[in-house]
Amino acid sequence: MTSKQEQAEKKVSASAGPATPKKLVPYGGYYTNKVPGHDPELTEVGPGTPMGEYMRGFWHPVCMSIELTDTPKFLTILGEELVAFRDGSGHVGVLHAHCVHRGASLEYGQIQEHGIKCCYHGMVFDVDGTCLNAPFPKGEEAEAKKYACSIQQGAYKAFERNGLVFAYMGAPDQEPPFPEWESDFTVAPGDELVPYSNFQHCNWLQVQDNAADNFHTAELHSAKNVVGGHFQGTTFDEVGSPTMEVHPDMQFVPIHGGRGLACSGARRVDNSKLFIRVQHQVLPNLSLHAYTSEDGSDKKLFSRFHIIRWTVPVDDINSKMIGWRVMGPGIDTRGIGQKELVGYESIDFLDGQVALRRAERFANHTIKDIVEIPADHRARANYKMAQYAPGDYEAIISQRPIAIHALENPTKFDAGPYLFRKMLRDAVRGSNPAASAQAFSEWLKELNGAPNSYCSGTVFELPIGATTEEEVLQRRFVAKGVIAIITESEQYKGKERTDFVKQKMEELEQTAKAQFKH
Amino acid sequence: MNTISSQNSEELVIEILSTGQKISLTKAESIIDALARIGIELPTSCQSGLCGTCKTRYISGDIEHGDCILSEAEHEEYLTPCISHIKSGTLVLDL
Repeated sequence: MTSKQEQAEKKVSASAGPATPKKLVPYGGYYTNKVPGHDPELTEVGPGTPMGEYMRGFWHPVCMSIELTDTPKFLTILGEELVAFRDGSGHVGVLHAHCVHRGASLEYGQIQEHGIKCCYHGMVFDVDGTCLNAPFPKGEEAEAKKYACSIQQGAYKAFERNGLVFAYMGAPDQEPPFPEWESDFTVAPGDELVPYSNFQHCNWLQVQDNAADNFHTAELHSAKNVVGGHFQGTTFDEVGSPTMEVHPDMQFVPIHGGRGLACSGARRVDNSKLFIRVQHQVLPNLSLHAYTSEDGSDKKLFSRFHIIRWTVPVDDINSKMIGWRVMGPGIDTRGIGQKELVGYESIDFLDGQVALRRAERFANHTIKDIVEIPADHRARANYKMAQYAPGDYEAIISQRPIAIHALENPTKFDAGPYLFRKMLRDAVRGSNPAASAQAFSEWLKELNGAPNSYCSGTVFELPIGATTEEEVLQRRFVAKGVIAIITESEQYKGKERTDFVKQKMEELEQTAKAQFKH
Repeated sequence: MNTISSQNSEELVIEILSTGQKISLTKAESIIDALARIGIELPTSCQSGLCGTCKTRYISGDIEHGDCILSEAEHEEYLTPCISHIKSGTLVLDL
């Protein structure tokens, strides 16, 4: 046998740089003061990188529609400098920022009826990158046309949808369908998709990790963790989402051929009700979240999407959570959503989601305004208040600009993000061919671009188990049972599927009642 | 690979390469716990196949890998005994 220390030194991380010896020495920071590199395979997204190429096989939201004004919007997405604009004819352009003529940024260009005109020498580019005009002197129109036909501004196909601008940045001949999840994103009649964009000063993957990290809510978002009573709306205790304050018992199940991960969490509401919340993570960067304000007071079968969220890389050390909040009485049965808090650099469910706290965000601005984003979290005037009551923003971005996986010491409760990282590696490396961008696209085409989702919230009328052991067995049985039912329902669509799932859930409730001691 | 043909195929066994010691175990028991019964205490941390602290080389065996960190190529040579299970027969560990 080798010593424990030597054993630890043999540890090699599959996903990151060289292993760091684990030395458990009191006051021994000296032995662990070297910071190894980040995991480039999963975190770096620039052109030509493994993850960057993979990500370019999917549609991503790049900004909000309200960011498109009478001047072009400068954006960085996947490490590429871009401009986005809506031209006079209503078409959205997403072009490489630097003019293909001599490099001036088109953010200083003038938006035209068709396309955009560079400020420097007046070349006009359509939304597909075609040069529509090169202003040569009179009498040299033929040469101008010849020149215009010889150049092409880098352009990406884009469209607007419910207040978001989506772009596809991959090879044009491999364009996938835009995924219309559940064909209508499960928006009930009377409900609506409300767009939002929340900037994160860190690598995209740690933001995505947070979505599959179902255990942080009961700590980070708990009133007991706020220092000295300096409450700032960062905890679920303050906003009354009682089920979110409980540590869930999680079952993580890869689904759809490894293209997604179902995170099924069981939470005991009270002695008579059990809440099963299934979050659906989709490769590479989409997460579908069930009702975030469930109190479990009433039986509820197969409630659907409450947040549809992409984690879009800006560059390797910045990203944004951008997506839709579903709002209205259909999903929000408790009626506590606040639309006036959902939009650019704000979201309603908790404060502490972005660099600006609400007090600053709304001091001189409304939700309709594009506000300045503080770049340095420690230089914020309210830094100390953020220390008293940190939110997701503080936790996530302070994991370093790019979190160092090789330095992590995961617990079993980190299985969600770790499993999702493994699925990403398998997709990027080709060890799961079904999850390649091309296979993903083919899969969407087979489903007419409208895949079913596992995302759901269900409150069962199930008494607590007679013993803790019995309760644990029961909640795991039900959490897995819900996933099995949804898998079984894959063959159906729409109402037929909903009816099938609800019927099966009733049966699952009866089975659990009969099978376990209460 | 097939040194165990004479054994009951249902029986799960760990063999220690350096000493030739053998331990029987059930599907429910972790390899870590089985090794501890004969005094081999492998270091562990997450106990769920995420950190790699217990990563161990093996010579042969039919293994159900349950970890999230080793690549397919690494699975040919290594396992995480905290979470992985023997599907059938004997697992020979390079210990």
